[in-house]
Amino acid sequence: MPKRGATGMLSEALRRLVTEPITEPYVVEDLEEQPHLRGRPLLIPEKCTGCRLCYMVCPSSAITMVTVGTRRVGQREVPLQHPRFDYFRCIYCGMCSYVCTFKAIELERKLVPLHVGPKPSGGEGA
Amino acid sequence: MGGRPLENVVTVEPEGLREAVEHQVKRGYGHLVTITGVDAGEKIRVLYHLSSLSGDMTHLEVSVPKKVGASLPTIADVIPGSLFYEMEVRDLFGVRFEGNPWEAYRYPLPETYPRDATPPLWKEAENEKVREIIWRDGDALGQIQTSAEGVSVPFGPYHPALKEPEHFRLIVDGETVVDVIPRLGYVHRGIEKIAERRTYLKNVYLFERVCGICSFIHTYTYVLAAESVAKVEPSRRAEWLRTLVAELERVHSHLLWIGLVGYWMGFDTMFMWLWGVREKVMDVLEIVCGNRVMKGFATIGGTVRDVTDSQLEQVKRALREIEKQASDVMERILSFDLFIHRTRGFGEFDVETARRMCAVGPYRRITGDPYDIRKVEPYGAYQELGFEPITEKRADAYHSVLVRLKETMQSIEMCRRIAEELPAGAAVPQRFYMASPQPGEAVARTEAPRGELFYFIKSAGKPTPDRVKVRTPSLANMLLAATLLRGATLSDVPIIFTMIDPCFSCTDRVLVYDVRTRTARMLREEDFIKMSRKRWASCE
Ligand code: SF4
Ligand code: SF4
Repeated sequence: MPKRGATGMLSEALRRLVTEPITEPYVVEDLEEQPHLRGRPLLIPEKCTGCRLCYMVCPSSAITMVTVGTRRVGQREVPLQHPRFDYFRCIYCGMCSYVCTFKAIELERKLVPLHVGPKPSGGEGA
Repeated sequence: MGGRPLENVVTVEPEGLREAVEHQVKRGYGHLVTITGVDAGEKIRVLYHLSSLSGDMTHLEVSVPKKVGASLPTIADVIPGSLFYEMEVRDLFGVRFEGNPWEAYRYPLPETYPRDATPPLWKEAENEKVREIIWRDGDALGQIQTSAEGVSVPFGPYHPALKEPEHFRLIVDGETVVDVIPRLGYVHRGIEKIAERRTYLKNVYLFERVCGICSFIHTYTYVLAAESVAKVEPSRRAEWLRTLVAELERVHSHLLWIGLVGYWMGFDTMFMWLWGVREKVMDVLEIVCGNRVMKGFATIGGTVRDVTDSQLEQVKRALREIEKQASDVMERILSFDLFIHRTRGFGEFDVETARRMCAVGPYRRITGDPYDIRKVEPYGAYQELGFEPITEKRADAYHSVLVRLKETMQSIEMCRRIAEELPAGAAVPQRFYMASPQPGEAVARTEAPRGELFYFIKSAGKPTPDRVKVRTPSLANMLLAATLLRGATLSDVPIIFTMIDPCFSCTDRVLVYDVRTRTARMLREEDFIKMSRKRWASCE
């Protein structure tokens, strides 16, 4: 029980000055998998065919389709588009991953702070 | 059951409306769930959803021409609980209710929304246009307003110091409250309008955001109604899992609220104890759903993910721990004299008042009325779980804590049973629902932690719903709480008001008008806590 009054307060403040902080730093390099977390959508570009299904179901419009190359449809070359996630709009519902027929979106179960996390997957542009 | 098609609709003429309502009340359909307006092109359809105490529903339908100022007679004198519902239809559909005593006040639109402008929920009203009117004229609200009663300087309602913006005008005589005029709607976000532009699947996540505490029950109720229009059946396992999450949510919501009661009384330790236990419940929710607050768990036709056996083991273990801690805390609280002094006998009312005001949830059950949607209209796994609603004999603040404590224990027990007896099978549907349902209408009711929650969905055969109506339990209870404040002293206002577990911190900001000195003053959260603590100290 801390002492009351001005002297109590002063001695408390001085003591706090020299003690270690009680919070722990957040180490981003060495994050553990959170087994129960739903997770954050990450694209596996090799698997994605650009079918836009994820884009259509995303409830918060966190997905934009960006052109990453071309693909062949019969004789013609058409642009290939991949989803790109805006993690500040994403509500982490996982719907995009659940609906993808090609399993091209995995859910990463780590608590990565958004501003230090890896760059949004799915190519450059936009 | 839960969701079901709109049946038992009786069409009446505007002139015969009051008679029809009186007739239904005599037949036992005295609980007005809500009033829904639907834009039907040429006309506005107004639906009165009435329920009997044993759970059957009947719906009265009247149509008025679609023009601003079309009118219907009020039913506020037959069913006093209809006040807010009538105001809502008036503001959002432009239908006037002749004789509504609060005709002069607005809810939920701001005062500055012109009464002759296109009502927001008409199909031709564009979101951008509505927003523009509100923004343009909203500036006027920032100015000091004078009225016959005195000067009121607006602090908020949008202010960083406020938790949630609402306004209650208390007319006082010295310390005694003479009258209360609630002003709701500051956080009205037009969700029903937004829903008309989003697919059925996307709306699941939209309605989750109606409430930050009981988020799951909103998706659940919406999904039940949507399953009824879309004619999709969830598996039995999915039903049980949803029931599990709904009950876990009740546990955390009740613990949260009981903690807040402590906080309002100045009993901060009680607040810490209960929120500590609640944190464990959140962990269990994370194990089952993957997310803690916005769970995104229910979907049309089932749930979005399943649980493994090892997860169920963890849930069971955690539940045992929670049960022990909760009963421990409960014992300590209930043996604390001061707590009892400060709550027993405050805000008393009887079962008749509760029924007339169409109160719902634990707030109604403390009067001894076993009105619980889980019992009267079972959905999910409740029928199989065979559960009995908890009631009390005396309606006051003390018993409203007691009934929620008991419900918490009952819900933990139910969760444990679900974890043990969870049926096998697949909970996740084969495909997520992305189709357009056949034209039709459905309603769904569930028992949210705060009481009966109601959804209405109308499909016009398009990928997006034509109309979704939400009626939350706090709105149903608001009127009764406001009535109870009359005659109470100012220091009891927070306690009486938190009894209904309002979904916003009403007492954050209150304008007090003293009829004796004819002055107005503003009370803030801190003032209330201070007053309440003073009262607490005088008990010692
Ligand atoms: S991630 Fe999957 S759903 Fe999205 S565009 Fe690629 S293949 Fe289609
Ligand atoms: S997790 Fe949900 S919100 Fe986030 S990108 Fe996927 S679908 Fe959109």
